[in-house]
Amino acid sequence: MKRVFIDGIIKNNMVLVLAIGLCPTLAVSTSAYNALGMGLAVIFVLTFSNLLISLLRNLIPRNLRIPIFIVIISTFVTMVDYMLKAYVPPLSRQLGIFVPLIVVNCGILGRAEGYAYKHPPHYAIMDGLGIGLGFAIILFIMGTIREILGQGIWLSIPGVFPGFKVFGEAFTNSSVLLMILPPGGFLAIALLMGLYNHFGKK
Amino acid sequence: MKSKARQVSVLFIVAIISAFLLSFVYKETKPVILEYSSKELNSSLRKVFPDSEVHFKTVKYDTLWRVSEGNRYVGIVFRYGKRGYSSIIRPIVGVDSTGKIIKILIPKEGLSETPGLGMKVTEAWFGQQFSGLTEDEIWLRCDNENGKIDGVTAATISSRAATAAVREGLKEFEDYLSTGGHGESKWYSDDVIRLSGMEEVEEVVKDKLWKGKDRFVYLSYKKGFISKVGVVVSIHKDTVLGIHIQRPEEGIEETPGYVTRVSSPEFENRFGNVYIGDIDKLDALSGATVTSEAVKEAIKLGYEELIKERK
Repeated sequence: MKRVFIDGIIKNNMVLVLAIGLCPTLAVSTSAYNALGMGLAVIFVLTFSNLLISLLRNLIPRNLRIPIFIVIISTFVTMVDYMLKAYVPPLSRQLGIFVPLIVVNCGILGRAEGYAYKHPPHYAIMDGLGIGLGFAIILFIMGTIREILGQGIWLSIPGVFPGFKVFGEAFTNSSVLLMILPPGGFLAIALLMGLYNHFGKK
Repeated sequence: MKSKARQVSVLFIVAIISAFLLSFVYKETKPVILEYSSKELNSSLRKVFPDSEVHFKTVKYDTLWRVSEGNRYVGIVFRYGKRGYSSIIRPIVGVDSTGKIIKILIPKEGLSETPGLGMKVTEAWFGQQFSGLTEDEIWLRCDNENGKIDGVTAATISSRAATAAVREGLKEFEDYLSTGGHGESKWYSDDVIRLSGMEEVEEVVKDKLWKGKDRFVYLSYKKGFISKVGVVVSIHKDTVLGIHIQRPEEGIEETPGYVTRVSSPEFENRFGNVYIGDIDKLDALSGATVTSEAVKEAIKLGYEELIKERK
């Protein structure tokens, strides 16, 4: 069981290995705080949808499984969406459309179909937590890289905390804007995949 | 058959559980969400109309607010959107009743202009340039010689869109601004009937014309010194029984002092029991000739409409 959790983070990492759910990964990893918020939302949805699907796995008719998965996943996503809107509105603004879009995140549907539907609940929970955490960690690292290079600060929270100043004034004034634009997302993800493959192979 | 029934019932049960969960979360979070958004909206409105005494009334959701101080109408706040480089820029604009910009605010939320370039229109220095300007000055300097706005370097499209949104919004709500939200459509028939003193409406002859037992009542407008002046007239055959002139709190925007004094019982009483042909002979209020004439003209205009209906 522990194995499932660890595998979820490393061997089956959603972004680096399975390479699914890349769209939100690229879009919301512009800052570490956004990435953290998105990561937590995905962990929540993935864990609970995995649990519920696994519990119901013997009841769900085979040819009806996809619509039922979607109903279950969208229920949890909508819950997350409301809760973000109510309790952390600025974060909800920043993540915008990408919160509702978790419904069609192929990572979540993929785990429902590929794992939770075939395994008992305690394994499904561990898988959800592991995969979710793996996704969140990578997202957070990408957010960190992009925010530091792109804006010269780290962990800024809109309206609350201006962020740690990583570099001096001179850098902040002429930071590598490219990194918070879409190409920066590809650069960061390529860097991480390259590192993973290099050290993973050994 | 059996398996079909099973399929339907499973999907049904899952949907029911989901609906139950969602309705619970919705009920818990809705008030919190609403409270936050109204608080946020209020603070934005306060920023563009910083007088602490004023209060805001929504005229059109998320688009137009009427601002008043006590009973006095002091201006409007509007939001108007214009396509920028990669999103729609929707500034919140506070305008005083003469059409001068008080302050504007370009919210970052929902805006996705280029970070570091177009997004700079949300910075304070850009917005501050608009304060005190009137419609014909709201142009980029490079686009119009009257323009007083410096665009953001390397973000001309975003700056131009923000500037155009303010200017075009001002044009869009011009009518509302000049009548203080009491444009023709805002004086409801109930108000008119109450002000005319008519006891019972027998027939609504047409828009702004009512028939009672012993009189006709009509509502008529004429441009005065600054804005339109609305007059409610009661008439029996050819005799004006009485009139009511729009009060400042009812939206008349004439110069305070002499000119708004036309909307007083003293002036209105001069029109009690007067033959319609003698209206022109009545004295104007000294110091407010234009507005007094507008009142007379409004009475005559409405009367012509009435004659047409009688035929």
